[in-house]
Amino acid sequence: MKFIRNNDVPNTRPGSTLPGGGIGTVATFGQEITYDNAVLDATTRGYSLTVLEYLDITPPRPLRRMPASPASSPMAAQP
Amino acid sequence: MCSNTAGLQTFMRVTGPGIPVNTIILSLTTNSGFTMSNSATAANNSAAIVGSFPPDHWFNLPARATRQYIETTAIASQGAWRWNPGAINIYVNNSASGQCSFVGGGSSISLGTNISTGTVLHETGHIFNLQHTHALDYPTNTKPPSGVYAMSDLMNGDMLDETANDNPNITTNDQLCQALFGKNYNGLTATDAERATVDSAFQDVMSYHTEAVLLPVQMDIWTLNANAARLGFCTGRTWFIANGGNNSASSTPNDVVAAARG
Repeated sequence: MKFIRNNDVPNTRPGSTLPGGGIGTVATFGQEITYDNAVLDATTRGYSLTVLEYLDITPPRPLRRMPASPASSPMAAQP
Repeated sequence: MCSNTAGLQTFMRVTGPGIPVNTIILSLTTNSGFTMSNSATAANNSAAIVGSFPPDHWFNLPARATRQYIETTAIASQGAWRWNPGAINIYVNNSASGQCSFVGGGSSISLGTNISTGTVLHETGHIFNLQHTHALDYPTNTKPPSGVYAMSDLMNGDMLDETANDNPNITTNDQLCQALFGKNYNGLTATDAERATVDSAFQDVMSYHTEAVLLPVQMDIWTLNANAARLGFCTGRTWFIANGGNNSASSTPNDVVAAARG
């Protein structure tokens, strides 16, 4: 489970401007998983969802590379 | 500033209030594909892509339309994206709604933080190949101005007899009940078969309504895929025992499930 943080405002998680944070916090995402597992429990099939890890990531912006072919990569020529 | 427009002839450049500089609006027909700047592909009705890639590019990208783009980028740069090949990779950003992967189409879920309760399970259902109770999506379903839906406004998205036909634009169980039976839901009792039929779509996790129930037939599909294509995401597998307590002779759950359902 990866929260994509805002490069503009370091350490800002998604949903930080929403009341309650949406699912942008460990607690609120956990509440969603608790609800989902209650639904799965009701099916009596033994399935449940488990969050392996909560991670904050800040992936780099895409590189703007020169296109190999304008037809196949029309936006890449933009500086 | 876009000083080199080579290759942009197939797109329409737009300016106007509220539209960021260098925004390119791609107008696409239904189910057509397009190529993004990093050579990732996606299939959507429309998408707005900021050509200048602002620092909050990934933070504010519409999760509902860009899962494939995110997954392709994540797999190409697994360290930065903390990609885990042994799990369903869920990426949450600052947008709304979400998009999933069906079997054979990837192994990630992209979500905006602003979602309704049950959306994670809904998208996980797609991971295990569950289809919507309705066909297609909001814009391609009817939306009567009167708010009164008819049977002809409903479509079968999952090809299951156990779920009622549905329309994603419906917002109340009265609307669905009127379309199916010409009466309001509130007038039905808990033991009414008609009420169960309405619930089979309106309460179903794979609908766009309440997302509270998964039916046995849907769990059969879930199990089939959890035992096969999606086994890598599970800590175990379901074994089927035939009537009488003997191990099933079948090597796949399909045969047993089919036999059990007659």
